[in-house]
Amino acid sequence: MELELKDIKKSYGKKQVLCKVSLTVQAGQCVGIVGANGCGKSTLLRILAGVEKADGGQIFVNGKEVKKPSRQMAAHVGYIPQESALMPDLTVRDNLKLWASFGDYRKNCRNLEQLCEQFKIQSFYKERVKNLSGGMSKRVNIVCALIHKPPLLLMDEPSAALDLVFKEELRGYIQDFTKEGGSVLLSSHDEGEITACQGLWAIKGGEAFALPRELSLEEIVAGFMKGSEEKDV
Amino acid sequence: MYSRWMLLRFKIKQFIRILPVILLETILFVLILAGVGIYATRAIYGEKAIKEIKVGIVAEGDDRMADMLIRFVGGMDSFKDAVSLEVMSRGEAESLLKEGEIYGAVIVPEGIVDSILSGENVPAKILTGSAYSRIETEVFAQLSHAGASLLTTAQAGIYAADDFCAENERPDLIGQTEDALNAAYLKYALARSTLFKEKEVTAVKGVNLTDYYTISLLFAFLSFAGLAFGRYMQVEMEEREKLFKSRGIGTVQQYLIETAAFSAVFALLGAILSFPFYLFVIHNSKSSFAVGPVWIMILPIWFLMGVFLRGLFQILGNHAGSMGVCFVVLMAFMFASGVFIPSAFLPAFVEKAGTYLPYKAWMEGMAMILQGKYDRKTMSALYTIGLSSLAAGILAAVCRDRLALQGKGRYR
Repeated sequence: MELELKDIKKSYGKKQVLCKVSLTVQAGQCVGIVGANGCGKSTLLRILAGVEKADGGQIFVNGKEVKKPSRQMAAHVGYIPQESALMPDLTVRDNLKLWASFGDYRKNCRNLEQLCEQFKIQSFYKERVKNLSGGMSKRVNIVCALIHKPPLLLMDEPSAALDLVFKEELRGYIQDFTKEGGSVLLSSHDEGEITACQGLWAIKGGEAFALPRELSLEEIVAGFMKGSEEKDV
Repeated sequence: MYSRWMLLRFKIKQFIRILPVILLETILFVLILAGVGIYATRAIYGEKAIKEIKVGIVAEGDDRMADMLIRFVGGMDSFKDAVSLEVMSRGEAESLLKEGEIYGAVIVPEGIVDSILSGENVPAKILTGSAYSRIETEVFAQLSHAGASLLTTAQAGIYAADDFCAENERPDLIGQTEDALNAAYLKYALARSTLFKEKEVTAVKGVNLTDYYTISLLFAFLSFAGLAFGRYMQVEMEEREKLFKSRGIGTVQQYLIETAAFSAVFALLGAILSFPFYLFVIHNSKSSFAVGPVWIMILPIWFLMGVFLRGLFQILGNHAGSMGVCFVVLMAFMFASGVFIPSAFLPAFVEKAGTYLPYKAWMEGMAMILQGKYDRKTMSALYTIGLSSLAAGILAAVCRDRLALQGKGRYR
């Protein structure tokens, strides 16, 4: 799935977070977004997931404009938020069933079996979410986002709280996903994830800049991120 | 549609799962509240709880008739149960009043009986211990006021009869009429006090005081349980709720689903807890209460209470500060609606305010169950309150959502 953003704007009250963000994600590509804390990475992903409304700009999916992203994007994307999207007093099974009920329930349940095995969550399937560790909870959130087999994955710092083994496995999953034609847009501060991306964008001062892949992490930090926290609105 | 049904199902499951915690919290809360109440009562009144109100009588001058009047009043049934009179000097009375040993003093002026007979009416002075905020002082002041009103009314009747005799040129009948009226007045006044002693005071619609306090306890317990549920309410839209919204379950639908789930669990809890309370009342009461078909109305009564509480949380919020405000609002509502003290015993303005507050309808609804008779007026009031709360809650949910979109809410 190909995604194109043109001049996306977003502000909270008087605070403008995104002023003119334009970027492209090709089909089968994993694209990373970097930037200082509070620069608007999460806001951009939330707009694409339909969780937030943009104040202006256009979103194109496979060349067609999405007129109402808050209603239409959910079918195209799987969104893994920073915060947990699970109900803490319910079990993992109940939460997954709930998320499977969005869309074709039977088809989603079939996908669920496969995903549970892939992300190794059977061992704590009957546990209440509030008793899970941060990493376990993150894995369940990832499965929730993938239940309906979306062509585009939006991941907000996906490897935060994950252990090294699972980080590696997640990277492997992303590679397989893109090989099958899926697209991934992720925000991250993790060096391993950033280097695995085929395209890289930086958000600074509310605008997005494409970064050459040849840049090392040190050069990215020196050129785009250093001191940006003070300049960012 | 299926996702909405699943969300309702899992919300109900979530509320049922937290029930043990809620019940434990509520029991602890009620115990703490009861403990504080008992401690405060003892701290204020100590061992001097109302048993007998001591009043000093100061007879100015050596008046044998005044002494007889004091003996007569002190011997009246309606008076001697609550008040003990003690004759003393003025200095002694003032000193005891200051020390709080007596709650009031009546200064009987010299020649008071002659002045009553002649119609001159030299007033008796009443001193109360205003420096002491003891309830007994207040009771004495009220008794004195009531006594004075009674005497004035009686005198008005006698003077009216005197005038009638004089105007009809029969002054010779004045003495005879006064005697007859005095005798009749005493007869009926004493009979009325006896009647008052024997007639049971009704708190709300035919429910006696003991039964009333039993259902009040149930009501207060469930209200506090509702308060404990507060922190599990999704008053503000967080990431999960925003994701639900992006998947087609909008703000209003989410509010309706959570209200339905909470109210259903609350109704179930209310019904389960009501049975032992009601059965206790039926077992111990002198009234002829019995289990009947109207008992099925327990479910809608508590369901509507759930809708009301959910609306209250949606309007006030459910973070720590708001929960405090909710508690104060609930306590004020409960007090004015007669949950702690029957409305009939509250000051007139509080009683009047209580009739406009929602909790009054629930107290009457619970009394309706006990009496076993469906009361359309009470149920209509409850449905009206439920629907109004639902409408107000929806409006508050939409407003909070709009504010959050503008970056003004707690979660943006």
